[in-house]
Amino acid sequence: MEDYRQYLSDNADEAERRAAAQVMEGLAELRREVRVGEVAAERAALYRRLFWRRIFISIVALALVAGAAYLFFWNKETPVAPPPALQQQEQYPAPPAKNQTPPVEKTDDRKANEPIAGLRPGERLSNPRYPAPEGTMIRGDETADKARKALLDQLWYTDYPLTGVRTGQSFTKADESLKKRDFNVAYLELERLEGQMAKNDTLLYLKGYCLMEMGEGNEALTYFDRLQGRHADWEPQLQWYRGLAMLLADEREKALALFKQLEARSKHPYRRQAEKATGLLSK
Amino acid sequence: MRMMEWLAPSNPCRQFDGNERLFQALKRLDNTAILCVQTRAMPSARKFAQQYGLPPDSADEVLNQSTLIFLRKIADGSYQFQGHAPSTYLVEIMRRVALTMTRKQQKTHESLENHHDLHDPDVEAAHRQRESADLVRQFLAQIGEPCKTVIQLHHIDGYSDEEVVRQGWTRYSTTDSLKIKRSDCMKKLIQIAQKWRTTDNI
Repeated sequence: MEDYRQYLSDNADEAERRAAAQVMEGLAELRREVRVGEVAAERAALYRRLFWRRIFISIVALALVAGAAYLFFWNKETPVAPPPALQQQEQYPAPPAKNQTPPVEKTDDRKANEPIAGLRPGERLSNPRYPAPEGTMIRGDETADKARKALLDQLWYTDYPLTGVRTGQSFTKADESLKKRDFNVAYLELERLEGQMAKNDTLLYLKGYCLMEMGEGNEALTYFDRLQGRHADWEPQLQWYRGLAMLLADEREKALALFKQLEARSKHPYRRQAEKATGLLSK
Repeated sequence: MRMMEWLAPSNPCRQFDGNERLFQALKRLDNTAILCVQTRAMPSARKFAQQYGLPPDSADEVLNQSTLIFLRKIADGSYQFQGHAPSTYLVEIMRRVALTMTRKQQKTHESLENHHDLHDPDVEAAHRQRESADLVRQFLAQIGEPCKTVIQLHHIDGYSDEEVVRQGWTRYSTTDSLKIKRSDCMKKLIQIAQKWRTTDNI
């Protein structure tokens, strides 16, 4: 470049100088245009990277929030999760009595609420939804305990809310715990209520039921016995539960006699269960 | 590109620890320096485009046009460094460019007479320079090879003679031979320009 500048300064006329100035201006402008074009491409690439980075970070943040929310709710629900046996609930209908009050938690499950007495002739009695309690099964003779547990597992047709029982406001907490089958919590609450209303029939029935589900047959029977013949609409289920409590208390003969009575009543809502029980107990 | 680099794109302004250093780099037409001021000015370009009712994608055009004017001003000395951030001046140019673009849009709807007093000297200079650039592009096409490549590599792409020789982009194997050839080519280019001025146009 130096040479042609020298050439311009030495020999060039005015027209030639103007032409040279125009060329230099044009070249400088072209150079700037090229630079700005290159930078525009770099800038576009930079913004593309920034865009995808934001998308990536947003997705990661969303995933983290979703994960945290999942963990939070999962942890929250775990303590009140139903026992594994409850998974059978969908497969096996409940054995409610004829006059059963619709369960609060599953009012739309018509099959589950269908009275046992209403089963079609020949229809197979499904297995119980829940296993029998294990807490007080160990009584020294391991073989006998296992056999009794196996028998009770086949006959543990229990259901809550209790047929015909209307629980008032004071029983809300106990009622909720029983619905969740959290019998320990329910028992503590019923104990507390017993201090206030020891002769309340609803309390007696709830506590008897709670004790029975905890495997305390003898204890449950003391409560059930106090209610015998006092509420016609409770009676069919109460009879069945008394039979189960007797089995828990290892009073097979008394239980068999009771089940035979229930079996003989064609319209008894637990007739089919009683029939099964007598069959198993007579073996 | 490694994941970490992708996650943290480099900040083009990082290497310029002061406005003066940035200004010197802009004077050299350093790409990173241009990118740095453009990155700082881009939000304003978007704002002006929105404010003056220009299409959303015109922010890039406003920025590029303004950058060319800014670089021109640095080259001809009409912008001198006085300690301020160069991007501040670029934003001011952008405002005027955006305004001019709005006027151009309005001209399509209104009569030209209403706008006779709205010309901008910077935009007019830009127009003139663009015409010069187009002419030189035309002259370069006329001059043919190897002059076109020899001139382009040095005067437009900005490569040093050493780099051109080392990369073997021309047939000249020494910097001296390359310089002699380029000098010869520049004379030819000036002659073409002179011929164009005398015979056709000016």
